[in-house]
Amino acid sequence: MNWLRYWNIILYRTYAELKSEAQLNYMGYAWWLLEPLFNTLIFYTLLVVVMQQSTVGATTFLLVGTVTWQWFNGVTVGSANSIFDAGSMLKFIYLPKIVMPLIAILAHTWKFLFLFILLLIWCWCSGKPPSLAYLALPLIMVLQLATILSVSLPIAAAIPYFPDARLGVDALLRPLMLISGIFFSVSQIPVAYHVYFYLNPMAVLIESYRNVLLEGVWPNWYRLAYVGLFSTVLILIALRIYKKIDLTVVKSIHR
Amino acid sequence: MKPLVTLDQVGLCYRKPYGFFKGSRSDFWALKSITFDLLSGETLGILGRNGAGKSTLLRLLCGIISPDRGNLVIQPKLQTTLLSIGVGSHSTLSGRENAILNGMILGATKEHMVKSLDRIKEFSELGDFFEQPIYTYSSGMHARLGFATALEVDPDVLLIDEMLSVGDKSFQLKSAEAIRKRLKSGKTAVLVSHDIKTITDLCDRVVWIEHGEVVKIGASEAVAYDYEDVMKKPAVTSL
Repeated sequence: MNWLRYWNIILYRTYAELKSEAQLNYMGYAWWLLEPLFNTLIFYTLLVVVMQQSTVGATTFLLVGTVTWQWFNGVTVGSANSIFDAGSMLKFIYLPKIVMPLIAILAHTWKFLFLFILLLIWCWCSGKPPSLAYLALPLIMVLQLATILSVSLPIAAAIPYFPDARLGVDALLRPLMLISGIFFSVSQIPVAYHVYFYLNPMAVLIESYRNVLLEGVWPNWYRLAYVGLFSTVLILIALRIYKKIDLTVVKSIHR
Repeated sequence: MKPLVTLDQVGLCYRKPYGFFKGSRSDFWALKSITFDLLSGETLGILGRNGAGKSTLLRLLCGIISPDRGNLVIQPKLQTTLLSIGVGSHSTLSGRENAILNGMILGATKEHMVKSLDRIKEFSELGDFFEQPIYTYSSGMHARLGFATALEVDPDVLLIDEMLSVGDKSFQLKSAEAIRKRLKSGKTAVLVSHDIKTITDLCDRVVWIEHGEVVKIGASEAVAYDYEDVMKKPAVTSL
């Protein structure tokens, strides 16, 4: 019964977050679209103008990378402070602490779905029609959600104890973005480094999206299985952490 | 009467955070040794000076934090709510939407809150503002909405921390009366107040705490009058 109430709180707060984001900014929902477009523009300039690479298919290639990265990045940044920021509320009422990051995760997931539909339309309009490999998309998306949970849940739990880590989240995400293959494909890096490249779950996921959307081929199942295993282990660890801190973390939030 | 909550030599410690330049970590025991039972159907008063540990004790009873030592036994599935005004409200949501959200956060189900909306609108006297986002509200309107919402939540144990009146004079009287009615209804409640008259009027028993320890526990009038005598003397604050 309580879990139904918590789920309703998550849904209601998510709705409130989305509503407030749209109302408090002059451009409202347009920002959701503009952010990955800006990133695409920056990478496009880097790739085509600075590095003199081919323009053929570059925009779609980059859009797949930036839109899917945006989901991961948005959730990680958005949920990092979620427990810390809710400190004043959590001192008065009991809520399972995992509720707070889940609100941020759901809000950004909703935004991603909106962007993803636009991305699909863009792909179709630029000569990349749907194929049988589209059947793999739900699995890739579920695995990305699992990856997001596996990273953002531990960070949100750690920040009340180590508030300095707030500054570290951006510093962690920027290099991760550069090595996730958003603006390059794995074929452009030496074979000897492929094994390290694929240790990064986001690199595997971005390549899988490109396999399906741009080439119409199935993703590499072994690498996806690795992503599934990686995220499942981290999520299980995160759940244990949340169980342990549930009735103590409030004492560590000094605000 | 059956105890709903049992505290046996409960202690709770706040740890100041580590810092490279801050030296070693120091502990502050907000509660050192608290022992009492909360019985079903009683209204229990808590008295104590500022900093005695009253709010921390309410957080323990509410299940928000766990003790660092001693035993705290809360009956399974017992719903305990600290009556709080507007906690978790969202400025862009309307009064109606916030009433549902706050009610759920305080422990009620969505269905219950939806059914209570007409009563909340009427009690809060917000009129058409009930449909407006709450960033358009004055602080008094905020408090009225928060109070009317909190009043609709019906937990097994109600915890009240010094909030018998909010808003303007007429709403203060109305809200104080609503709380009194609730406390007299035979539901289990814990009331923290500095007002001796309120405590003796509403409470069956009183726990008096100082420096995180129980000084006295017993019938409300006996404990409250002893407390009042001591309050006439100056306080000594120590860590």
